[in-house]
Amino acid sequence: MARIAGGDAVAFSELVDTRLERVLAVARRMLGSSAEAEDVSQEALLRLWRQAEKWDGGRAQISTWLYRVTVNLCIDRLRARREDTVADIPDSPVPASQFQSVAEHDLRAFMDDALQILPERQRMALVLFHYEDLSMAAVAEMMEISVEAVESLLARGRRTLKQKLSPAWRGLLPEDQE
Amino acid sequence: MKMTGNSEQLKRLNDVLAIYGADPAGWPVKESEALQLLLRSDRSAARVHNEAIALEKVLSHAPAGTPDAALKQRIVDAAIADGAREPRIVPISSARKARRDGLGYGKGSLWPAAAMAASFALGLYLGVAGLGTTTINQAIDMASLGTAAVETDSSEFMLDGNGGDQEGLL
Repeated sequence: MARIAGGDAVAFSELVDTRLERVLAVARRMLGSSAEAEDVSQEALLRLWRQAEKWDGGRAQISTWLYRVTVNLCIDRLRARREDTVADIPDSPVPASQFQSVAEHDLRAFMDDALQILPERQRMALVLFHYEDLSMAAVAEMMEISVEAVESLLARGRRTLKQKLSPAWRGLLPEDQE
Repeated sequence: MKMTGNSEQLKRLNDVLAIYGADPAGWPVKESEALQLLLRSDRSAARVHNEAIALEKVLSHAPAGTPDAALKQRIVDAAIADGAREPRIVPISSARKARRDGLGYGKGSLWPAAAMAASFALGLYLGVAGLGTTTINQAIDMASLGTAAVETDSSEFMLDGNGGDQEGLL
């Protein structure tokens, strides 16, 4: 980070190599759009480049800082989307019929849709805890809520997904349990 | 109805699976052993655990995006071009691009200065070699050919009766 603070573009390039994958994954799962995820990843890493001169190594780890900035940028985008269009996210559970033909769908797209149905804070908790493997305390700190609140978000998010994705996961149960 | 010990544990297992997922390694240490014992002794517990495992297999298909070289380069280029910071070392590939842009047609181009220097050198050469008059005359001849062609077209147009008197125009 000291090299980047000194304006070393090669050091920054190396940092991009090591951090981009995680930043992109968080943005992709939060936003459900590759193009927007790439834009957010670029913005997050550019902010790190600009911030480097004032970086206080004792206060924040690079990864934590990047996660926080990425998540905030994603929230900004999600809010802008809501302002642009009348929210079409259903309040009630999506009809099961929408998810019944899993075999006809690409499972990735199916999973993508299901994640986007979650309220953004449930999705954020799930992305950071389940996919990024952060500790409960780290997620709580990043989201500025208590550990108990993160647990509640995770439980509700995973239960919603379990319901929405049942046509997909039921097919993966052991034979004697189907 | 009072819950039995097992049903309390089963309820807690459901909560733990919903919060922490199917892998016992991620469960709270204090509860993990008792819950794993429950999995081995209770069919309902084993069933909900299998469901949680199956759900996680599906969750693992959530697209994460793949960072490609073009995106990485775009980010580094954006940092180098960023007005807020002055890069100290420029990566070779970006340096090549910057050099190409600088000498070519990009912003802050050196092209006008290079053109002026080349003109000056050519003038000096022509003067020393004594070729100036000839070359200039040739250039004038070349230019007149172009003009003549245009005049010919105009003359024909004017002389065909539609354009009026050519001399009157001169």
